[in-house]
Amino acid sequence: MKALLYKEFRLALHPLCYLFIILFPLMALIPSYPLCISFIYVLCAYPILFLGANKGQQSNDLLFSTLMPVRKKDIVLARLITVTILQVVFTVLFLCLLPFGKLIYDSLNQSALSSGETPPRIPGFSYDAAVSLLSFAFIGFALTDLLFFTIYYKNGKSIVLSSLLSILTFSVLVIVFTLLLPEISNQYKVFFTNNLGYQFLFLAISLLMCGLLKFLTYKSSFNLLEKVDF
Amino acid sequence: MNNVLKVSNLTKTYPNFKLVDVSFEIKPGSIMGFIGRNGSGKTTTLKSIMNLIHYDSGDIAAFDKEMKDYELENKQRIGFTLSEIHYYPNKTIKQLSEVTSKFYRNFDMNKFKELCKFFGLDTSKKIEQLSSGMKVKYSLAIALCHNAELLILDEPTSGLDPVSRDEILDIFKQIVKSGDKAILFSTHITSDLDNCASDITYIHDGKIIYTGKKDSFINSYFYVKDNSKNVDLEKYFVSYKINDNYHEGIISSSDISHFENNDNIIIKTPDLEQIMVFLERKNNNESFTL
Repeated sequence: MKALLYKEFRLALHPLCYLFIILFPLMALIPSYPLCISFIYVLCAYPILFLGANKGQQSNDLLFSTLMPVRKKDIVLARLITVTILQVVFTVLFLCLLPFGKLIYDSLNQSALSSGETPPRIPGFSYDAAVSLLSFAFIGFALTDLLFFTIYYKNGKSIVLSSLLSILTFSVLVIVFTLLLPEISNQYKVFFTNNLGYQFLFLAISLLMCGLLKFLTYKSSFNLLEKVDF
Repeated sequence: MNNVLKVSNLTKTYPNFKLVDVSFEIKPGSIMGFIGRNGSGKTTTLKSIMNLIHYDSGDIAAFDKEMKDYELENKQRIGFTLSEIHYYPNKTIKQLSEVTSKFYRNFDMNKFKELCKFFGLDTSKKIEQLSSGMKVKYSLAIALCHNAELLILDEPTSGLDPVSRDEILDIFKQIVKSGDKAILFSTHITSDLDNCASDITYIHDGKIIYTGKKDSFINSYFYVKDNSKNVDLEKYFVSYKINDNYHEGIISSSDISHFENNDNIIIKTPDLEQIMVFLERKNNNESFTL
């Protein structure tokens, strides 16, 4: 497993993946930008990672791993861990930047109010629902992993289809979440204010669901990979 | 250890192709050439050995251990390359070998550096910058550094110039010199095997035609050129070709008496290429008119 993870970070992860994961959390600083959309950009790193660096299919990443003395289920697990690390790093960076985003938002609002102008058109719940947002991100990531991995490992080739379907699914989730968000926000005014108990309960449930979905992703993906003829 | 590799009754069916009862074995210290035309089933067989393909039936054992049950252990002892397939072309030899070394228990990085020097490989070069010959040498260096006892190489000499081919074949001979290693390499360039292979396995259309000592195979045929174009002798040919002024073909060595003592007939020991060409002509009954 160690060797596989070493391979993932030394060979398979293209610098662009790092760039995406580090730069896209900066979206948390854009006033009025729908925050849950930001998480979609993690998915941009997937095709690059699965193609195995910038030579695309020529890298033969999956064949390389398969020929090594490692179990196929470890190949899938290493990839799932890599993807999860990317998601966690993205989310941590995003959360770290969120207070700064709120700061920008508040100062813009403040200056607009003091000069008698209409405050910038920013829905208040954007930052209020930070914990809900986190719950959304974990479930969104886990669902798209399930889709991406199971489509990809069916033949070890379908990067375009798996990218397309996982991005579409995430987009639908964003729409649903955005529609639900005001409701959630109204009932549980949060982000380190009140009803934190409920918020963290949601988070715990979403983490549990995320774990179960990731386990399902792992199990079904390696079962599929076992059947692939190279 | 009796066999480094034993393949028994391997069968795999594709919609348009079938590998039927493929069986052969390789002893330590031998170089086995796996010959056959393009599309005859060589790569499918080699991939099956490495569990890259799910075969329908049969058994494959390396170092007397079933590949299916001892895949990881056996893979530690096998070096494998696929024709024209290379990994991470934009990475350097150094990067790729460092990663590869993590997968093998016995990988000796110092030995790798020495071999790179010996083969003239610049470790700072990217894989895509290597010539075909250098890529084969790189694969060999990797295999030798994790002390692979069996090298399985799919068409390693394909696309190489004659000098590089000769170099690679010399390296093969050196590898098996100690007697504890073996090489199985597929090729459709039969001249590669003339001065290098001790054994051959000949596959045609998914079926094994011959497996065993190369010399026994060659000695079981004679090449005959009949300048008299004697039609009565045609029946003794295993396969033949009618040219304007002569008949030529191969005959079974047991039929040599029918051709001896005739000034119009030239009899020679055939090379592998002649045997393969005539056997393929015999087996290929399809014809077309231009």
